[in-house]
Amino acid sequence: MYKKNSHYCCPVYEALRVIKQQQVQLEGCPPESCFSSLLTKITRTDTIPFMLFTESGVFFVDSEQTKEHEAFSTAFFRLEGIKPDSYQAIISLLKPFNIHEEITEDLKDLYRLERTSIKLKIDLCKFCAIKCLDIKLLSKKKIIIEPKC
Amino acid sequence: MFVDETIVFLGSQSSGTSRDAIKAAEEMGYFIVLLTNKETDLKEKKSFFKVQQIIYIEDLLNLETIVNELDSLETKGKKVKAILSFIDPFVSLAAQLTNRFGLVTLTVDALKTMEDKWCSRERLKNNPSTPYYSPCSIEKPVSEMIHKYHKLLPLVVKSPRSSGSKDVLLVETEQDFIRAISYFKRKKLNSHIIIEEYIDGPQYLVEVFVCHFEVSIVAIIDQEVSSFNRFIITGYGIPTHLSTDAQETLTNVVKKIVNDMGLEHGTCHLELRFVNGKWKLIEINPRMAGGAMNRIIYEATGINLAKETLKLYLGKELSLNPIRKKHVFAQFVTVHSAGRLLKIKGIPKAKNYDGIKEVYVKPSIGAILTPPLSMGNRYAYVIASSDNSFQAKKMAKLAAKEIKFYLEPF
Repeated sequence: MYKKNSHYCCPVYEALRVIKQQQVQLEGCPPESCFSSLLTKITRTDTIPFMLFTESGVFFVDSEQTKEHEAFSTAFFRLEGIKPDSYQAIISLLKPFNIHEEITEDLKDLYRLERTSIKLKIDLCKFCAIKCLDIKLLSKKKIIIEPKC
Repeated sequence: MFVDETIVFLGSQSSGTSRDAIKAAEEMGYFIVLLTNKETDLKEKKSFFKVQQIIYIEDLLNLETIVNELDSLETKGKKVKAILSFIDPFVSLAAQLTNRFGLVTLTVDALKTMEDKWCSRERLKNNPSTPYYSPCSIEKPVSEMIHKYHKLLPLVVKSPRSSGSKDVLLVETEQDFIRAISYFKRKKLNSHIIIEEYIDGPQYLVEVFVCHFEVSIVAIIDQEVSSFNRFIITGYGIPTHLSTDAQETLTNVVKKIVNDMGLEHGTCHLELRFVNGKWKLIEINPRMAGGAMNRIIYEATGINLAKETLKLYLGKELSLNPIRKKHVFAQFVTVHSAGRLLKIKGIPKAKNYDGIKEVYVKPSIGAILTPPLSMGNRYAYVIASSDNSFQAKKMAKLAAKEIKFYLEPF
């Protein structure tokens, strides 16, 4: 029997802890700064995006409409903080776009991700799996559709 | 027809007029040899599948090397019947080889002159259609140049060897002038540039055949020029709406230009602007226009001009009389931002508009697209045909709007 709220009952905890460590290495000065780390300069992002899975499937979150954003649904997140004692984490929602600059929920249509300030506290023990995504999804710029008219 | 009767092409584009000529040569039953200085052509099997033999020659301007290759072809049983090119700067060289191999007699001197914008202007300096022009050394101090030319602004500054509107700049202010000079200095194209009067007026392209001194105007095409500070043609319409008078004066002007140029046997195309009832020559080139031009003229008149060029070089009788009269418009597509091409959308939709004859998209996924600096930066075109010019133009423009390039910015 696994103890409640232990590493064993939170299979995603260890992965998130490593993500957090790696993400710290990406944080700091912007990539254009002489003083940013080489890793930041290469990756040009401060985020390792991921998806979470519960026993019933992909974990989706519906955002509410804000001043900055229309309401959208996403399965893509950024780790903001982790509390080892309570096995809780703060994640932020990443806004998912396809090549047509439309919101997509489908991983196979995903072209780029955009950071948002919408944060959420989650109980890690609810999740049975985690999938990391390509960090380039965050550094891709908005697609240009030409000619414009 | 013997299978070893051969037509040799010096260079070819993978689409458009020169490829249409290859197709026509194949239809006429000739063995086709392409001499190229582009290693990539050797891999372009899809584009050149009608070419039976492709020979790579690093220096395609070296006459003796080409002669050796052609001699070698003849020893292998190929009888060279025509040597030609639709590509600058190989047109006059092909004509030179044609004469050397005793095929037809082409006016090499005139064709060679037309390959150089400065020589063309000098040859036609007394022709009334020639606008003001002046040579200018880029080594001179810019202040001296501005002092000399600032009263004449706006002007056109071009390289004597420009083609496809590459290195042709519109200069409206002194600042533009400084930028243009610095551009030509950076490019190190030539020690001299040509400074010309800017002619503001509608522009027309004229396709000309000269067969044993007899000058035929095969087609007059309306051009839509989109000008920022480059001259990019984004629309072609045929027939034009010129009055009978204007057409008559154009015919006389063109004949006089061709006569002054000394072209006795060969083809050329001219670009002229019509201002205050007078025709002014923008440029003259020693071949029919490239790109979509062959298809545009074919759809409008039924004349396959690329094929007729082959016939002229083969010494055969020409068929330059229109077999149909349709209104045709070709709309080209350019982009305003640079980026890597991820996806192209709208081709099937564009093809579905009434009267669409061709939808052509040039770049492949992964290509870098940029705003137009030359005609080569036009990335798609749509050709529409109708019984009236308004409808042809409308359909071509609507269909072209359907084509969308998805670009990943840098």
